[in-house]
Amino acid sequence: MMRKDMSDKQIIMVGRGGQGILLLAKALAEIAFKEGRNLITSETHGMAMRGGTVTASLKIGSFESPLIPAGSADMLIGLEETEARDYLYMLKDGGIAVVNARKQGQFDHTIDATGMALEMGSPGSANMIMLGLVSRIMGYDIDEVRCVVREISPGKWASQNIKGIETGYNCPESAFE
Amino acid sequence: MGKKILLGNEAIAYGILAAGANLVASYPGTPASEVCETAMGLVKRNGSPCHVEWSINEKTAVEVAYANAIANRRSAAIMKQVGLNVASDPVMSAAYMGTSGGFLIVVADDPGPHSSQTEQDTRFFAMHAKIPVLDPASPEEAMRMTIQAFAFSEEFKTPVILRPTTRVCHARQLVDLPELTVLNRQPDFQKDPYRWAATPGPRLKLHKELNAKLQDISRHEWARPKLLYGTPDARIAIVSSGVACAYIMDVLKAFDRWDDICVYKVDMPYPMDPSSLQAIANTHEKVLVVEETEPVIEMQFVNRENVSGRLDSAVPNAGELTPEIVMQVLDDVTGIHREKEKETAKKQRPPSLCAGCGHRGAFYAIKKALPKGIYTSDIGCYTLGLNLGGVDTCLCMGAAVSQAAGFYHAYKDTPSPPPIAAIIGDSTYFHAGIPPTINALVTGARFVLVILDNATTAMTGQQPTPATGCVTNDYAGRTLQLEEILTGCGIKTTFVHDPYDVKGFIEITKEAYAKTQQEGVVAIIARHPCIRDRQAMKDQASYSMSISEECNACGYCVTQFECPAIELGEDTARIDRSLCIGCGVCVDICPRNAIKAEAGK
Repeated sequence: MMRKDMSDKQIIMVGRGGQGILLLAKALAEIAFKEGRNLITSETHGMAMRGGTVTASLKIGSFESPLIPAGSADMLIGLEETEARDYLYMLKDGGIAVVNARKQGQFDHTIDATGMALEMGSPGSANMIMLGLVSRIMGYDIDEVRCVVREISPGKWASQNIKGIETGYNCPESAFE
Repeated sequence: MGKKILLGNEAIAYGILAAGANLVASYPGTPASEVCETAMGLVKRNGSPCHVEWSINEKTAVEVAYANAIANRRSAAIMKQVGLNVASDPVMSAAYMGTSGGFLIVVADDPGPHSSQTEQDTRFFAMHAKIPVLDPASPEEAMRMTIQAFAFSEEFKTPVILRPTTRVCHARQLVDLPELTVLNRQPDFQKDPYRWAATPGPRLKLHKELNAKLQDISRHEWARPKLLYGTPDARIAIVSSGVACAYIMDVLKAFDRWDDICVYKVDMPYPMDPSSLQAIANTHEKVLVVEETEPVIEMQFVNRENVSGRLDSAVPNAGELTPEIVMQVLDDVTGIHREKEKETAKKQRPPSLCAGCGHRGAFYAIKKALPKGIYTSDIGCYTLGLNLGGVDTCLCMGAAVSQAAGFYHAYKDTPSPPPIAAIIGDSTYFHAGIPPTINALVTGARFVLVILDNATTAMTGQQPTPATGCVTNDYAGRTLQLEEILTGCGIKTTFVHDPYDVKGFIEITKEAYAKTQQEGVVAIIARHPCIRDRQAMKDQASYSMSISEECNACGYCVTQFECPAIELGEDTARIDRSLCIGCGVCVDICPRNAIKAEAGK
């Protein structure tokens, strides 16, 4: 088993309202909690959730405030490529961008999560596919991720969401290089 | 009870119930909505004898909660900052009268603003109302302050305001879950008309009593800034409160470049102990106050010779504080010159009505039926009707109706007055639309009143309305329908129509407008359930949409209908299948009939 990474981590998530960024952020926070880490997050609610730009941040470690300073993020998760490009300035040198986009090779890791979700017959699952991929990159245990997603998914959506994370977690490396 | 990750608003709800509140009342509004929602859920789950209600508006919420508090029980009223404007009347008076049971008013501010009309600072309002205000920096602190606020309120017999900001309300943090309790306190309203029903004479006495109370409170430990970082012999003192203080602590830790500074944190920005502020100004060479959104702490320094902040623009005097701004401000005050950091200009995609939202059809139809009209609108999702040219004004809750009347009077003596439509949501209508409807009728105004009825308070996350019922945890009896209210307000004709039928809605709007000549105000209820209600969405027909070759990319659908699921390419419009819900309304919009709907998706 991989040794757990206990360093401070700052993750910025960006996308459009309605893409399920809040559930993604919540899942990553709960996973960090299960790993025994301290954390603080920030979310966008309200007006912006109607299709506007939505960001969320997760700071794992001994932080007191919820926002990440520009140029400090270890990882950027983009659910939408235009938004992701606008927020690249948030990454520190050496930080990585994991982005849902059709055309490969644009970011450190580019994956067509929307296409995969449509193939699954559930267009809303792109967020969970991204969660699966990020969990793999972060070295999280898939069982733990599954368990968290089951806990936080509203009722009947759990199995759909778990299918999403499994798709992202198990996708071939060629799909996100 | 263990640790749990809680949203700031959830943490406040836990705090309220841990303090044993017997009554919680609120009207939804971002960023405050989840407090009452969480309290409602917890009380239902535990079967606690605590009454939780979504009140019709914030004024009512405060009045309901206040009565319970002066019956010697514990109450919380929760709202967003502009909700406090609505509730200002009872709040101002409650400060004079005081309380016997603990009375907490939670008012969430929205620097930015992210989801509000103003960036107003509730700490200023608290000063204006003479009510102590607490400024938490994190969810964990918000919970702790909430619990303590009830005892504080009872000790000093005063309402207390808790002022979290968006970044506290919508932050998640690990907190130690508190034990939830219910105070077993029988209601005990001690009649004292010279206090609870005071006429102007005794009010003067109450005012003097309040001033004395505030003197006492300013000697409380919360009224003194506490040293959080550095030593008292530092050259520069930063005085801060709320989440701004948390940003400062984090950047001090992450970037080791500011020397000779110390940080004081203020828990209660009003009332403060003036001598402890003066002591800080006397001890340090420079003082910088970093606070959101107005210079409330800064102005309480009596001598501001060496004090900087928002008043002298050392801190930007509008907008939310961010870690970047805080770093810039620290650089400036310590005389560090740095090259500009990486590009931070970001384009924000504006929000729009959801694909399949019933409001879109209504806006389109109103524009078609009443071209060159004035469309007064209101606060809610449907403010986004401005994207498709269906909203000309949005002032505050309920103003759609009163502004429509005002425009009528402005134009009535001109040769050809424009048609006027007031467009307001169902929950907003209940909140503040009823008195202006009566006012319009008895003053002879003429306009079409369109109530967009999606059977929920959608923007803030699907809270119930008086028409849907279930607004409390302990009563499921009467509801009140919009039709009954409109009739009661004196409206003679009310049409009810589904805005998915755009053609029909255009005809009805024309007919309603024609009738305004005789009847003054004519109402249309545009009724279609919010498609964010998953059941409602499942129950409606869904079509497979496509764009045929007749499309010449004229862009009419994009500018006039503005559905996020339709995007314009160079040669043709396209349907974004990941967003389209197959409502089929756009079929009626295309001037070339290029949008096709096939049954069954």
